[in-house]
Amino acid sequence: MAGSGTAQLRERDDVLLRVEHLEVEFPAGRGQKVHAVSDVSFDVVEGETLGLVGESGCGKSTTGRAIMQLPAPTRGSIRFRERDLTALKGEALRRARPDFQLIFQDPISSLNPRRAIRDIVAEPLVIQGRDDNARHLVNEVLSTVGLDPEAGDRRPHQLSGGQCQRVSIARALVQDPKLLICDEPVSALDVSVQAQILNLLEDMKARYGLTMVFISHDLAVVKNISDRVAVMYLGKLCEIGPAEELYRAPLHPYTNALLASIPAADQRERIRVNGNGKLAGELPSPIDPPSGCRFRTRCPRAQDVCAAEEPLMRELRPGQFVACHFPVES
Amino acid sequence: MTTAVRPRWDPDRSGPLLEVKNLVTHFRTPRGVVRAVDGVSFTLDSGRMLGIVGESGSGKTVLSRALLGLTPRAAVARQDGSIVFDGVDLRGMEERELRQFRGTGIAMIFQDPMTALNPVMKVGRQIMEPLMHHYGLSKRVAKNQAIELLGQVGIPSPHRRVDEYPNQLSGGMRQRVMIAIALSCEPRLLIADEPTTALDVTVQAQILDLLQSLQTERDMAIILISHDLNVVGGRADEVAVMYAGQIVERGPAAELFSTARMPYTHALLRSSPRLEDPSHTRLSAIAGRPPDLHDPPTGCRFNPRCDRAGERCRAEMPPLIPDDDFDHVYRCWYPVGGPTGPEAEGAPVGSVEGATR
Repeated sequence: MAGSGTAQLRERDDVLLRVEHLEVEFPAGRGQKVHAVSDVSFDVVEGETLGLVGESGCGKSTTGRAIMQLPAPTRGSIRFRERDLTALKGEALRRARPDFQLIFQDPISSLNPRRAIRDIVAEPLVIQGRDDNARHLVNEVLSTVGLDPEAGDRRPHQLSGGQCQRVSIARALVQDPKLLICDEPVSALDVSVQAQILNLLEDMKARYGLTMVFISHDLAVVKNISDRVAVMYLGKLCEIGPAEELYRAPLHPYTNALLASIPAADQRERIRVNGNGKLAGELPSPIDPPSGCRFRTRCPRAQDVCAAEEPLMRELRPGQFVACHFPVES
Repeated sequence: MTTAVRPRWDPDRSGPLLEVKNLVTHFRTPRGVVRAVDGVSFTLDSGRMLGIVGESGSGKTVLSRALLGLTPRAAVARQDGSIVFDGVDLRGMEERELRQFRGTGIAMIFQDPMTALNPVMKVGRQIMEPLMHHYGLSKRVAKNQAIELLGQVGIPSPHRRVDEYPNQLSGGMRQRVMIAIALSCEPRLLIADEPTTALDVTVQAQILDLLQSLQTERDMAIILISHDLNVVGGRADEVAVMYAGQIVERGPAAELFSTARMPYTHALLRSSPRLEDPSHTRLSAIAGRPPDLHDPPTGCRFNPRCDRAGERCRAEMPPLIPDDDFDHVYRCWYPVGGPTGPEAEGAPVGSVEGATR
């Protein structure tokens, strides 16, 4: 993959978020640049959950943060409803922020250890000058996420990881957002607690009418929560499509390799479905990414054209788009 | 493989390679005594892989440290039970003897390869150290051995890598170096504590494949510790599930996954999302969280979170009960597949429900 193009963008009235030609670069010293995200485009319609999946260094978190303007992308546009967020500055951006909220991976370190839970959750309301009714709102949202309002008087270190993640969710929801970006929200949690938080996110989505971008390296978690899934590799989009189809019949060799690598209690069944498509080699440097398709250095199907020409996104099955010259046949 | 043929300690000895009986490790903390490992028993044969699964705080890491005598002595309030390795009781060993034994008898690899390696020492040197220490090899011979080991664990151009520092290697490469160090003195048992948790899924598959092939080639026993049932399930011959410092179920991997009897194992299996299920499948979360090991619940330690628990579960700790197949044991009075506690005790189902919350 490692491809560009915008064929996957939909012309619909209910598109809430439209990311086009997103690029994020970071200076790496000596005039070099880390190409963290390169020409990524996708959209999310209202009420949809888009899963963003890939290994470390693929740019999935950077993409999530670029949507939040934390920091703003180097190039590209991020349209939220009718507004281009990249054009907003200062006070205008601050006023738009309640509509899109972010939940972080590490629930404990993303909360201020010196403040009471109640104050942490009320803080966004105070900043927006909506604090007349804050106490009532905070109690309501705390009980909605499954916390005893008494927990409001505690501090983060007195709560477990799962409870802290509930607090993070409460802090986001108290602002009544439209879009919730979850960056690895369950990766730091134990399996049994992870299920509680995933169920809670589904409930909150229904209750508050949320649209979600769910970022994770865990393919099973992403499949469970997403309507559509986008697979990233080294700053590029490989494949995007409906969750069921993408997992059942992946088109991109990288998606296939990811699925083949998932440990399963029954390894033989997995190999029968995805082949033994495990990946050899190492992730290339994002400072000097490979020409053409960025996945070609590790791709079992790569040929000369993959180095010369970057594949563009194309629709091979209804709603399922892939950027690959030699997609996996079904 | 290495050219030197390694003599078995005692090729005629029968019985398991490792036999752990009623191992107890309690720690002293400012809040009181923590019962981190509380009566763990198991056996392991050469060439077999035992998977130990548990959530954080279940005692799986303390167990692995205790096997190597690596628990901090000053903090230990109570250490009990026996660890017999190849006929030798490790608990009776002096620290000096233990030091000779670590690496050659049992070796260990840790979760985070960056912090486990010395950042200011070349990786080759770190592999050479145990060789020079245990076998008294010269620098030159040890270095050649190190290069050979790096090649065996799948590191490309080992001649160049041997002179690099850990920060020049990727996470997967560092974990391969850790494995090379662990293998250097040809241990009979390798303990891998969450060896792939810090790694990406494609690299994880590579490392697990490597461990499995080493196990077969060297007839080495492996204890693979993980919080992820799937990591362990696909590779291990036998799986032990830990909860609150105890083994609560143990059995052949395939059987444990198909017919878990302990409600905790059963719930754990159903609470992780499965690829086979359609999107938005509701997960059966386990309510509550693991108990505080300063003051574990009386009776079965899982009873406050168990939807099958009855009066007996709150009063009396169940022993490990064999299933029809004697290799499969579970710690439960009312196992999955039979009546629940309230049913068996004849109480109206609704009345006990409230008490378990």
